Amino acid sequence: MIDRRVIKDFDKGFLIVIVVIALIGVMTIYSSTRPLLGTAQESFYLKQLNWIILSLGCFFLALFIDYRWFMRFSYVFYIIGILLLVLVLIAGRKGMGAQRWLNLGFLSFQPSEFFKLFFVVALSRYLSGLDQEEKIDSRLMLKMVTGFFIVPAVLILKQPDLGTMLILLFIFTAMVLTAGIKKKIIIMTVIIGLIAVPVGGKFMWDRLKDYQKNRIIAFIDPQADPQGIGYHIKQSKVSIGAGGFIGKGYLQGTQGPYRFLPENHTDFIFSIFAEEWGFTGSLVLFLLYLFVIWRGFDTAITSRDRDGRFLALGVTYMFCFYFIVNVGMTLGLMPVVGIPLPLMSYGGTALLSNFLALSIIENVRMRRFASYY
Amino acid sequence: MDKRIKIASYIVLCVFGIFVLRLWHLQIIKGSEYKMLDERNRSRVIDVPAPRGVIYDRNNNPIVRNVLSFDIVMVSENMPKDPGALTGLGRLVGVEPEHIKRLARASSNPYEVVNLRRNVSFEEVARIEARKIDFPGLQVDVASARGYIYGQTASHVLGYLGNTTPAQLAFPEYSNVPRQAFIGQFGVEKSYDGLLRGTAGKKIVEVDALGNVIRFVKIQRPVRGEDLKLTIDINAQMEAEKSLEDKTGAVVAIKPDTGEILALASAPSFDPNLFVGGIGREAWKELINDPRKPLMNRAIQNQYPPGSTFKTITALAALEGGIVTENTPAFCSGGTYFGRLFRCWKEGGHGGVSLHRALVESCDVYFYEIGKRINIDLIAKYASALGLGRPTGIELEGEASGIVPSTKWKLSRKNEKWYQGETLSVAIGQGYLAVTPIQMARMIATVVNGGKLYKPHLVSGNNIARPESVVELNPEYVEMVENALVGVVYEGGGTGRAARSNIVSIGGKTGTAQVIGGAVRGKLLSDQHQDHAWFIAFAPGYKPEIAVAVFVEHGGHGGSTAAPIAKRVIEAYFNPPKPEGEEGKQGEQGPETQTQGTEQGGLNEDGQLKEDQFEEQQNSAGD
Repeated sequence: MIDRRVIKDFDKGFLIVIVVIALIGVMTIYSSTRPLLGTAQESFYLKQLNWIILSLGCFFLALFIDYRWFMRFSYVFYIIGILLLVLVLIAGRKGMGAQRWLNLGFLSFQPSEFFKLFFVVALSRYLSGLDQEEKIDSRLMLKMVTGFFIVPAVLILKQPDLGTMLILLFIFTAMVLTAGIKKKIIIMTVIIGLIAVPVGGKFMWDRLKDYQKNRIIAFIDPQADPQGIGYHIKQSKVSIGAGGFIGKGYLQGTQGPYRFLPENHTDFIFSIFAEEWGFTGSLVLFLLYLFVIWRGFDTAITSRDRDGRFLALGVTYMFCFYFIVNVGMTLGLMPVVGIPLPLMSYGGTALLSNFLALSIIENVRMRRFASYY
Repeated sequence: MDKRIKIASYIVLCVFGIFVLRLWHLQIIKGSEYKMLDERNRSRVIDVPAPRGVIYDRNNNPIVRNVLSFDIVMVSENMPKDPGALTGLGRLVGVEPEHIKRLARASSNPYEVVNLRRNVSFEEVARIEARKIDFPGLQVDVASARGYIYGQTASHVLGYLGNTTPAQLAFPEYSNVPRQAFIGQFGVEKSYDGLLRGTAGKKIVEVDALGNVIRFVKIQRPVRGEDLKLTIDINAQMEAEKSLEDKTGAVVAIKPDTGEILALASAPSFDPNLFVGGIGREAWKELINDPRKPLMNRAIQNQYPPGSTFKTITALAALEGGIVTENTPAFCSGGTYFGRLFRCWKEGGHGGVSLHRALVESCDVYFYEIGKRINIDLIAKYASALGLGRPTGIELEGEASGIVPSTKWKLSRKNEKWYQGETLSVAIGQGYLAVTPIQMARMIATVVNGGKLYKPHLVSGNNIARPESVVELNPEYVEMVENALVGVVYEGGGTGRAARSNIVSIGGKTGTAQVIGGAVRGKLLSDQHQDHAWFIAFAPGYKPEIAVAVFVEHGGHGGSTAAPIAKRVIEAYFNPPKPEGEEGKQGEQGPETQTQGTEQGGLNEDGQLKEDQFEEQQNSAGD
């Protein structure tokens, strides 16, 4: 079923870097949750390790399926995804003010995590089917916005899950722009945006939850209330800054175990890493992530067909968005949005979804020279 | 399209570039600043109060010691702001929410460990520990607290501790006192606070975000306060208080040849253990609104007419002034005229009396006769020389000075000349005269030691006592008066027969000071108008070792009320109760029941227990 050429073109380096990043994540989770007063080590790192093994299995399994098969059923996935999003609103489990979880008895997961993948695949299918020479005009644009974006965006905002909605918006915009779009639409969008932002911004602001408003306020002025809403950002910067050039050393960080930095093993895991490994360690980590992203873009360019090109591109954009928003947040460059650092943050669903997404890149990459049959 | 993908990848590269610059900014340029913030997150400087000095009596019996106390503390930044949580915390800890708010406002920095409540019982500690989780930063701290072993005994001498007042903090001697620390606010605890207090230490610890101590970094040991040895004899003191039970009054016992205070009691008294955990609002109100004023030290703070006890001075002044000799006779028919009728207390009169019998029977007429002939300023001279009319200078606050009337005094105070008729009243200890019990104790001590006026003191230290001044007294006259005073107790018709002891010979002088005189006397006999009872005494009759003044407010006759008290105190001094009985009593009154504290067992003198705890924690944190 898989010819030798495909196996030969399997990018081992890509997989190794992904696994290395994930293991760095496990190490950092271990360090940030280590107990100080003689109590037992919490098992977060072990759970994460189990999820990595499971995700690796899924990564390989997904490789057996030619990515064009995904494309064939992409709309089916998309519809299933939409149905799950509806289901989560009806029967989902509530946690921390949002209804994001579906309980299957033996495990619970967030459908929106997987929906992002379905969204990428479906959008890729649509974009690759368009006429290569024609740029997207306004009529087509409207069709795509209503067909792909509006329904899931509304469903996800209803949970509410602002972070995922922003990812969908970003992927959609980035992919449409890359596919080629008439300049007129860009200009019009900018003009409409300039008019709509003050009006719509007010409208949106009034509809934001209090904690979301606080995050934006805290981002703009973290010093306003260091113990309150700006606390996360301040403590994150303290953690990173205290790392200095070479860091405090592994298991020497204090901001996590001393619980000054909340969410230290999930959204703020980079701060903990930077505290222990310093500027040098962070630079190495950045290079590892850059490698993954570079392979993503390279796969898009060298793909043998438009299907693979859009698929690899969509996944890469998604990965970039995760990384940039999360690290930007920990560095105090972006508002606090509950978006984890891909591959490193504690959390099984996100880890699995990231591995599956990256396996798509590998899928496209290893088949770039294979013949059609 | 490849071109657009490349553009996208360049944009991503740019973002990475920005991130690297930002990292450089945070970690390299501002690295040291954030390192400092990081340390400030974790580090707490905690004052380590020095254990106070232990207070002993003259025979090295501990009277005040240190006991372990469970204190409920909280880092001020963790104090809830939300009224609901505040009420919940208040209910859990057992203080008013308003109190917590006040403490939070008063704290100097957000990381200050604020003492919410001191000296909490085991049961409450267990209750609070169980619900601690609801209030991050709430901790139970083991501290050292005062334990007043004998409860109410000597409360006016020992005093109590309390928070420094804002006014005190302005003084340099309180500058190094930790803000939360208790300092002496009354009695010896206050007078010798500088000595007892010691020097507070500091410890630097690492805490987590919830205020749990993770690691012990450094300790600057506190220097324990110096122990204090009082001149008090705890047996005499206890007997004095026991015999004043249910009465209002004071007892002062002095060692005549040094001025050391052997006992100083004021009734009613209070239990200083009430103040150990910081006195509650209710308890404090109760104390200060009590009409019997238990906080007042009647031995030094209140002044009363001395009554017939003053005849001791009148007799000496008259002898020294040559107005009478031992054998000068007078006839008491129950009264004498000098402008008006001056009555003797004995209606039928004493008949023919000499100076000796006049003192023994406390004949007023005899002293009226002296009063007719003596110059008031001569009485005033001896009264002042024997220490009346000014504070004695004992190391306790709020001493009254009393009044010794003289021509000069009346002219300056009332702008009137002195009438000889007034001298008659002064001669028997009435009129303008006002004295404190401690002044009377020192007076009789000075008389029986031959005229050496010592400053009464509670702590002798290493100095050999030197008299403040020496009163020129003819030893013959002193002997005469002493003999008469022994007669008061042992001769027939003596007013102080109730002080007779089988253990030791006692000399003394009764006094019954009129609260109101003249015509209305006897018609109003409610408690408020009862006479004050006095007895001044010394023992043994030859070379006295103890001088005592007993005062009972509205106690009636000095002979029947005050004299037996003096006897009991003197006997307790010469013949202390057997140790077995004493132990039983101490156990009953001990801090176990009084202060809810535990024995000092685990706490060594420097408060090292705490450090051991830290080391334990450090070990467990290390793995």
